[in-house]
Amino acid sequence: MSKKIPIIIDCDPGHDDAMAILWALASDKLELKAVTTVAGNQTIEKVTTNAIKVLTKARRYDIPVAKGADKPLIRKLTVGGEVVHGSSGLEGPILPECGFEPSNLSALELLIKTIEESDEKITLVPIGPLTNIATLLIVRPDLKEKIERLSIMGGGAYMGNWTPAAEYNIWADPEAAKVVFNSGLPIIMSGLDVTHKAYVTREENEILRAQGNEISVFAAELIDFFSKYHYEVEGFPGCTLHDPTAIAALIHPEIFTGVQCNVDVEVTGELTTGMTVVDTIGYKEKIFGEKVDKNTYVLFNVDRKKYVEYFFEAMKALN
Amino acid sequence: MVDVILDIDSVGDDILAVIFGALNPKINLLGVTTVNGACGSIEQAVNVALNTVELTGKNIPVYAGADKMLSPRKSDDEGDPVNFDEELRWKFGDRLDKFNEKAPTPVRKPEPISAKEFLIKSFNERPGEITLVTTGPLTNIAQALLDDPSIASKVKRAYILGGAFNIYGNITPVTEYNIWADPEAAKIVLNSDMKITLVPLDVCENNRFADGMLTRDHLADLTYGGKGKVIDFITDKFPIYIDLWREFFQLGGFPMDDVITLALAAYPELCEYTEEVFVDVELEGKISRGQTVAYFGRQIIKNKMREHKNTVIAKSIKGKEFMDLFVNTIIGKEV
Repeated sequence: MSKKIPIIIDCDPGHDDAMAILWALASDKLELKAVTTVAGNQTIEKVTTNAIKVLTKARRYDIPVAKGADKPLIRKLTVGGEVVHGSSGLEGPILPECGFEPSNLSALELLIKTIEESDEKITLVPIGPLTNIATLLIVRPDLKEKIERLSIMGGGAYMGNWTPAAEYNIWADPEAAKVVFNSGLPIIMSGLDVTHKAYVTREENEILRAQGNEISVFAAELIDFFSKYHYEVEGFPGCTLHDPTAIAALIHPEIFTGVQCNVDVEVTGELTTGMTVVDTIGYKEKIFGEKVDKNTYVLFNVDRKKYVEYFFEAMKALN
Repeated sequence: MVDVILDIDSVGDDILAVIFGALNPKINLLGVTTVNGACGSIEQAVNVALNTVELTGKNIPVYAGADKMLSPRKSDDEGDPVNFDEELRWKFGDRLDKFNEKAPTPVRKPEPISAKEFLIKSFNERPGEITLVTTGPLTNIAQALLDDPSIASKVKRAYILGGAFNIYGNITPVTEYNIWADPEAAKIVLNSDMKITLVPLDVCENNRFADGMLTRDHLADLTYGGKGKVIDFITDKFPIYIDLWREFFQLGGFPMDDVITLALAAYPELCEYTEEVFVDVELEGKISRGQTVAYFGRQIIKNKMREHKNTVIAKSIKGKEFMDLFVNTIIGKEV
């Protein structure tokens, strides 16, 4: 068997963050070294507690959780998940009490320590606002050479979910996102273009529940709550698994298709701030003669049936 | 018969739109107003319009409009699209000269009043009766609205070629040329009370609807279907357009944006449309200035200001039916 990819998940749980963590734990291709948290879907206190509870649920007391930024780099915090994730950020299933304490280190310190101590390059999986990651790249640019790549959930080429133009994670801290996308590091972007295609229908969710093990039932209950917004407000055919897509893109790259191109972030728009400007055609170079870095592999399509099948297998494997 | 004023910036599909409008039995072109845009100067826009009307043998008045955008861009904002010509020149050589070539001196003359004056006069004289079709930057329309806001509700319906929603742009990754070229003007028009049908790149420059694009097969259909100056003109000028768009934008043919937009005024059933929504234009964004943003209310942030619902957006097109209509109109077959 090939070696596991060492990853750090930077997140703001959140139902889909929780499922991303569980999928990473279940995979024999990934080694989850640490979880860092960032204010986003809920306040930093709530999302940190939620991250610990999810790991407790999976009985993985060994994975350190460190509390990160309590607000974006420049802007004030707008909690994203009140409507979608409920007041705790993880409403729905009954959660265990926290089985362990958060790390004494800050998210930034834990990121630095984990990357420095690793023999191999680390893959970062940011699935919340990019505040912690931007801070890391600003204060320790030397560590870029020990980062393999980033698999980000955020953005969208042609759609938004927070505003018509912007997806929440990028919108929440656009300056941080701009730093990360312009860092020179290779990026896989799971934006709304692909995550809206990575959904679980009501009928499929019953199959997940019927798998019967504790984690499958837990995931099905997460989907029960999380899908309400998708059905009622967004009118989707199922529950979109946004954040788990950033994990799936690492474990099952063969089920995705995308385009390698330049992505930048709008930070001064009146209507469009926080949108990812995805240059699939290469206009900057073609029309304006401007050399640009094809910094990002932007995912556009997924084999949904396989995605759901792999996700269910992963939930069943956790006991 | 639909009475139409057509506002154009006189390159490629604008020319085909004038020809189509002049020859189609369901469209009555009351006038062609011109605006500087893709063609490079108002003189060129006017001369191309005059020569095209002359070619059709019809007597359609042409009006000169705005030479400058409401808010001209600074060239250092986004750079200039200079690379375009250089890159294409080595690929297509002298054939490129047929793309936006300098118009010969026209026989006909433009009308003595300006495009703006003609628009204000026409809509005031016949409120609710005249359809407006725009295929260039919206400078003339915005200027007319600034001078006389009352015409917004006197336009029967405006069919506007502009914007991009679920597909990449054609001048920057997120913008369509007409809106990008004069976003202030577009914002004024879209924020007015005018009833608007917006025809975005989603239905025109999208390979999903490649059956609505002009190909050499259609040029052959024209050659076999009829004779005359108009057909000779199209079959001589348009191969380079087809090649350019296939090569540069990777489209299945030459997209007929402007002809589609005009055709919808008389044949609205060619497209399916969204519900009425508010569409706004980004002005401040450093990398998204000129982007169209549609408010369907499916996002978390709600904004009461966005309840001004005056625009429907074309979302699909019966491409083959449209191209059949185009070819049959040009060869004079019953449509």
